[in-house]
Amino acid sequence: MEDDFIANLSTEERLVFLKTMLMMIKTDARVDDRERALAHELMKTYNVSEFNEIFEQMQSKEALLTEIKNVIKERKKALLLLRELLIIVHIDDDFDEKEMIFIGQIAHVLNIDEDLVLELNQLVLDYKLIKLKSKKLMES
Amino acid sequence: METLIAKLKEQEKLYCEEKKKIEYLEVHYDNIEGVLKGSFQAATEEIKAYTSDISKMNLSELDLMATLVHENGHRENADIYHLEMSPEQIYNINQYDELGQKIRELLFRRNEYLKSGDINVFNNESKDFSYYSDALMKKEIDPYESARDPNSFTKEMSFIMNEVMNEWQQKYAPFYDEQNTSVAKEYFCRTGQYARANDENYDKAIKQILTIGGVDFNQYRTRDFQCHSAEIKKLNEIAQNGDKAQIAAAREKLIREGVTVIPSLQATPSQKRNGYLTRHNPRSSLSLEKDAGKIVITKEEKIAALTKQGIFDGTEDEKDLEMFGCNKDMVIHYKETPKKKKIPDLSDENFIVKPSAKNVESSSNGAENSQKTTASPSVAKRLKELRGLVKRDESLGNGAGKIMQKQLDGRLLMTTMRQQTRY
Repeated sequence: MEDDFIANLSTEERLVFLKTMLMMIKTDARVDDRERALAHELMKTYNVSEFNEIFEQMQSKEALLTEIKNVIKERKKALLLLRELLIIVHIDDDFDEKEMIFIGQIAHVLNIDEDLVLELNQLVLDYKLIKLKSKKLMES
Repeated sequence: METLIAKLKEQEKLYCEEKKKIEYLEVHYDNIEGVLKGSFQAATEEIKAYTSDISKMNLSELDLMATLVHENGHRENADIYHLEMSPEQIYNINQYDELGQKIRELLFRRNEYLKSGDINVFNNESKDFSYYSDALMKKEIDPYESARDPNSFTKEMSFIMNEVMNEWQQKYAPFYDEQNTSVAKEYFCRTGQYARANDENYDKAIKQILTIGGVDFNQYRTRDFQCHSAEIKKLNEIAQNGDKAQIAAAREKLIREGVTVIPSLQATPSQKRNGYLTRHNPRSSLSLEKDAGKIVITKEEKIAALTKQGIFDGTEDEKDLEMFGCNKDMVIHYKETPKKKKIPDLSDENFIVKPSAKNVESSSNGAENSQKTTASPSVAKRLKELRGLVKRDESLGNGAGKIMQKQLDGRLLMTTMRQQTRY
């Protein structure tokens, strides 16, 4: 399920995943070209076409947190959402405090304890380091 | 929440430090006719590896990488030759340095074996590690089991320490006498009256050399090296008991005979407190050889070297000369073929997989997935939940993970790059 998890999400869940990730991208209050391009990639990946509608007219953070709580009921999907968010923040090397706070809030509404957040974050970082090392080797 | 933020920041900091370590060392390869596989020059901080052997066969990528691991180990240990010690102790330290690098080579091959299961990784041309593959086949050691079971781990690490030392002493020690001697002479010329025996520094240097991949192999060592060089023993006596004039005279004599002192700086006050006399001045990258050319070692020079080592005594016939490659000159050809290589980091304490709570928990995933250690048993439940969410060596799923993978592969966000170039 984990590799092809998007296919197993309902339309409602997929939208919540996407909106949460877009909210994460907009967390630092400025959206540059790079972040806009990342958002486009996500829309493509999640097979959602209403980019402007979702990206430009985001609901409030509080409303989104409530929606997450109401829609994401399965534990596995909650973990997958958190994983997606941690990947998003690590796509560039600038995991700032606002993003960390947002991660903490999402984890709270998803009932994921802090230790598990840290484990998952570490695994994403480890994955990234291994990919970087592998890339360096392949470049030689 | 505050605790979480602080811990996330700590993770981020450690990640950034780790990322910094992923760096290139510039290494150059030469084509060579000869038996040398590689070398490290402390004076120039230069590692060389040779792509072909005497038969002009190209060495495998594995053998080249093992050579780089070996030579890079010398590079990492370069500072120990600046600790206060006697010439005799430095002579022995040079032997430990070689021994340590042989252990590194074996550990590098062992990790390749853990990844591939291919026992042929131990079969290098010199058959240096056949005792390990033999023990593996006889099931006397099992590196997979060592990743899980502390008893198996201790048994294997002890086996590695003592068998590599046996093999090295029998096979290589006689050939390194000249190098050990020249290193000890250089040290004496550099430090003079300060070249005093210091057991604390001696033990510290051995421990540094033999701490590899997070394992202190020194704890498994059952014996010490001995210095058999009469020349160094004499020099040792002068350094310990001679007066200033005698020491100065001995230094001058060695320098007249051609000993070159490696350029080094005075130790800083804090280094002095830690036992250093001088300090190694490492460079961030290794220089490339610019000029192509060749070095010729004549057969007479080779005979003289073997005579000096006591291997030849003047009674050798043509067959003996041929056996030792002394029937013809040796020509070393240099070729400008620079490449960039990332040398595996055996100073990384996680290089050797060790038995731990997490390793036991995730043993079914193989040793490769067990490199990060997490001691607390309470993580077992969380790890169970996380299993499958992140496969470190494969993928992070088909969502954002796919985007990250493309980005890390350099295939991502072309639109972004195009947009950015506008600014």
